[in-house]
Amino acid sequence: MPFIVQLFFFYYGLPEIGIYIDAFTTGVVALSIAGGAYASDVIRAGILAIDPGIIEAAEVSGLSRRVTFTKIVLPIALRTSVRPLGSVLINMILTSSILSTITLNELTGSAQIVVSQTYRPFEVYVVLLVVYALLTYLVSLGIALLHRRLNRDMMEAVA
Amino acid sequence: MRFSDFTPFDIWLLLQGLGVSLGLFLSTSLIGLLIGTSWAVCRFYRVPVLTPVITFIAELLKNSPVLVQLFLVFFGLPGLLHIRITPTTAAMITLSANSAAFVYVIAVSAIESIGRDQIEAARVFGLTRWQVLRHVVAPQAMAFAIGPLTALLVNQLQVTSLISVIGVVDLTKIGNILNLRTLKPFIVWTVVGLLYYLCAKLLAWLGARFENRLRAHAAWRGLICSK
Amino acid sequence: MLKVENVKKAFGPTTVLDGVNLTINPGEVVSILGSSGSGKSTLIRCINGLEKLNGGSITVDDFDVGKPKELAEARKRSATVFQLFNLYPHMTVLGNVTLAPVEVLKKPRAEAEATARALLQSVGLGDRADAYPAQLSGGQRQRVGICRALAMQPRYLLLDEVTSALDPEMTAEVLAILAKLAAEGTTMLFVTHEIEFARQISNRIVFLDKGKLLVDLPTADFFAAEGGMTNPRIAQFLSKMRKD
Repeated sequence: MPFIVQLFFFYYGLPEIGIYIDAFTTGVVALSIAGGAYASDVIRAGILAIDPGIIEAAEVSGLSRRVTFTKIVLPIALRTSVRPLGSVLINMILTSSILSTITLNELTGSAQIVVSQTYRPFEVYVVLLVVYALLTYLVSLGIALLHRRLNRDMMEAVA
Repeated sequence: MRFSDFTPFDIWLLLQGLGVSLGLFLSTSLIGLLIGTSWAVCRFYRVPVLTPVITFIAELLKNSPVLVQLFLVFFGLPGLLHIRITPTTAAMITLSANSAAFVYVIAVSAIESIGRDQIEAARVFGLTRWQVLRHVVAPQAMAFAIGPLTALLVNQLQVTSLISVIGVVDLTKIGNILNLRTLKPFIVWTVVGLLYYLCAKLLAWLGARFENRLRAHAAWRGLICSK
Repeated sequence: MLKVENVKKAFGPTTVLDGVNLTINPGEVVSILGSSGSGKSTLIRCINGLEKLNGGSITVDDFDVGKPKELAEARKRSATVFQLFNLYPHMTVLGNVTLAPVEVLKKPRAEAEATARALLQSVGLGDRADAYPAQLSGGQRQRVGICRALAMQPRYLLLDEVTSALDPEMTAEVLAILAKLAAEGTTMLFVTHEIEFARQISNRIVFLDKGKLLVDLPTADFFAAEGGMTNPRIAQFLSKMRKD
């Protein structure tokens, strides 16, 4: 479902049932829900990708379901999911520009204000484009670094 | 006098909006596919100047918000080139370019997943680069790419909803109109969301069926060898 | 005592274990031989509860593995070493060996670590306690797997083709450790392709063929001409596998 539809649903819908919250909070709620959905998908895939033999070894030594999950499944799944979670994060940064449609003055919204003052849309939007691209590039670098640090011990040494 | 209730005519309005959305989606996806694959072919042939330029543009288009791209084309270009541009035209240009960028990435990885050795073997038998492309690379790449392409198209369908912001009367815009009139956002937006969702499901189903048809055919032909 | 009584196991239409009976007494070293697909690994996986039985029962010291409440107790009394090691990749060697004793046996961390270090020392990995599995060779990883199993102080040690994934040199390392354990009186049940090794350290040999237990004999009798070799299937198997 398109994010903008979800956003309008909350922004126009919540006041109808008596919940009056500002645009910022609405935006946070909508984006968190959308991002959470993607993130849960990613983590689920990470969990399913764990070598079943490892789970068997844990099960057989008598570890309870809870302990297996918290001490083995989750640590491994999160380490391997760092990269896809990074792309979810980048996706959310880009999706945040849609929040400008509900009067929120985030990056895109502010750019629109600048355009209305300077009457130079082309330059402003080109710069905006580059800023977003740069932002996502930096985040992807950070994610790559994080992935390397966390998985350092799990990567096979080159024989 | 204000009709703040729903009328049967609203269904027609929604369908019109859906039609606009789907129309734009299909045309921009098609154009995007064509452009994107031609970019990938460019890269395959290692065309000297074009390839890095294409890669740069694709990266830019992929890593920036579609909304900003829409604004750039709709608000920015007329100022720069002193032309007038309709919202629909702006939407066509932006969405096609955006889709092309993603198709480019998928096509490149699909082509690269075909072993170099097959291409070498074909060349050694005397096939020209074009023949290699047509008979060896394309069929296999297509089979590899269907999965990611379906996912991409489903996503691009959702992205079309943004064209409502620059004034195109698509499904989302109709939703806005209905919302303003009836002041029943929960119903309006749920229905709109449902329509998008159903279309996405249909698309995903079609993609899966197409992939199965392609795979059955290719597997029988022995084109796909699972390593 | 570990009792396997009339155990039946099928995967869909294929019957993998067909009425297997086996008893292991404390202190015995029993090897299970047979060709691939004979059900050897499945038997081990039924004993440690990874597979559910379709018929029959298995009891470990009178705890029935078929009953969920008793399974936990049964698992405390046995420990398994796997063919593909199955070490926890995100934990150090020490972490791997101490996890179960701390979480299941509720041992204090200091005690568990001391035991772990002693075990690692005895297999020659005393200095690698803080390494990660990814940094170790196959033979070293399997030795860690053995320590992980021994740290639980099990009454029955189950070994599922533990050298099949190792090259000859590493296989020799691991077999040496297993021989030492057998000499010390550890009760072991192992599935293996290493026939000479089985011959050297086992008290009994059990032969499985297509899910049926053909013979269960003391080692000497198994390899004797009048004992195991009278069974044509066993003779055929041994002639293909033996190096002499």
